[in-house]
Amino acid sequence: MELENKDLPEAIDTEKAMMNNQTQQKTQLDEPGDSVGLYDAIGRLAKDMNDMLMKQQVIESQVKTASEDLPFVTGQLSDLNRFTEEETHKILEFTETVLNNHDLLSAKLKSLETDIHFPDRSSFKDRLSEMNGLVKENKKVLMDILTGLSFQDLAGQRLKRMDVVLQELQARILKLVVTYGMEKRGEDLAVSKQRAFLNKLESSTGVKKMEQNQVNDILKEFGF
Amino acid sequence: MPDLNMKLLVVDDMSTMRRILKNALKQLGFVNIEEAEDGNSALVKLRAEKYDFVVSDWNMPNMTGLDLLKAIRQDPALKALPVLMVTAEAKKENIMEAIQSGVSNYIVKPFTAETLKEKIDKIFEPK
Repeated sequence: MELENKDLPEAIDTEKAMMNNQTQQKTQLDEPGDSVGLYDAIGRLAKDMNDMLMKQQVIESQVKTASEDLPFVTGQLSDLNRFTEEETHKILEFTETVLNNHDLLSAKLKSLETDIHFPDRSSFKDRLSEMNGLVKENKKVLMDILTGLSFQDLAGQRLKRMDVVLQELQARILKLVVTYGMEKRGEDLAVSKQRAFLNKLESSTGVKKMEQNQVNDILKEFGF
Repeated sequence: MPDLNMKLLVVDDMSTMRRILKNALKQLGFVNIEEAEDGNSALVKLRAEKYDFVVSDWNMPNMTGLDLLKAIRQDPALKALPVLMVTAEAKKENIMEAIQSGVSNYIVKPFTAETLKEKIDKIFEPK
């Protein structure tokens, strides 16, 4: 900011007053009683810094665990995707075999129907035998389809395991939200209420699945 | 060769697996098949009526197949009942634990109808 000449004396006076005030403050701090005050202030600052570091360590630990669990879930999902795809292909192959056999059987039955008035006994018997073989093969393949569908159970079990890991992750993240979320938002949450949320999370972690409405309640309380 | 008229109990928490097992057993010729969805309800049925054979999963809520097996072996009225485990638990320690608890035979999912027949025949072959 540029000053006009007429303002200069006033600015000089203001500056002098400020310098005077600073010198007075410095003189006051140099006195023995104020050294104690400064020492206390530094102590409080050190304690606050320590508290912050401790909180940061807790957050880091929670985030680290979450970071370690997420690749597991991702890997499992990828495996599961591959597994269900492979098993579905097996079922499709079985189904295609049954359909092919069915077409062959239909064609053979049709030819028998045509030839029934002029039967060649030996070929007639062979053709019936082939048809019998196709029916037997179909039965076996249908059984393979039946038992092959058990892959759904295996996929379900893997999904349940992932569900447990994700539930624990969710609880950890919500715990972080409860513990530090309000501080960050500059708001104050009653300690008793905060404790109640944490207890709710503790009781649900790894034991039973949290109901979606419980999760929503907590998130809502924290502005999500 | 087992008696095809014997009464069977299929225990699995997944309805699809119960259906698969029931159909596979029917194709093998068994006609008297009932279901239970976990170890607890299976035990209630086993204590209420006479069954000749149990086919059970391992991982189930409320009571696992292993706990059901242990409960059967500890019950004087049920201890001789043959139990076949059909499970995804394929680790050596799982199989060892089931054997130590008195399982009659063990099938790992996914399985084939041939394996099911072979294991059942083995359970009921004359000793």
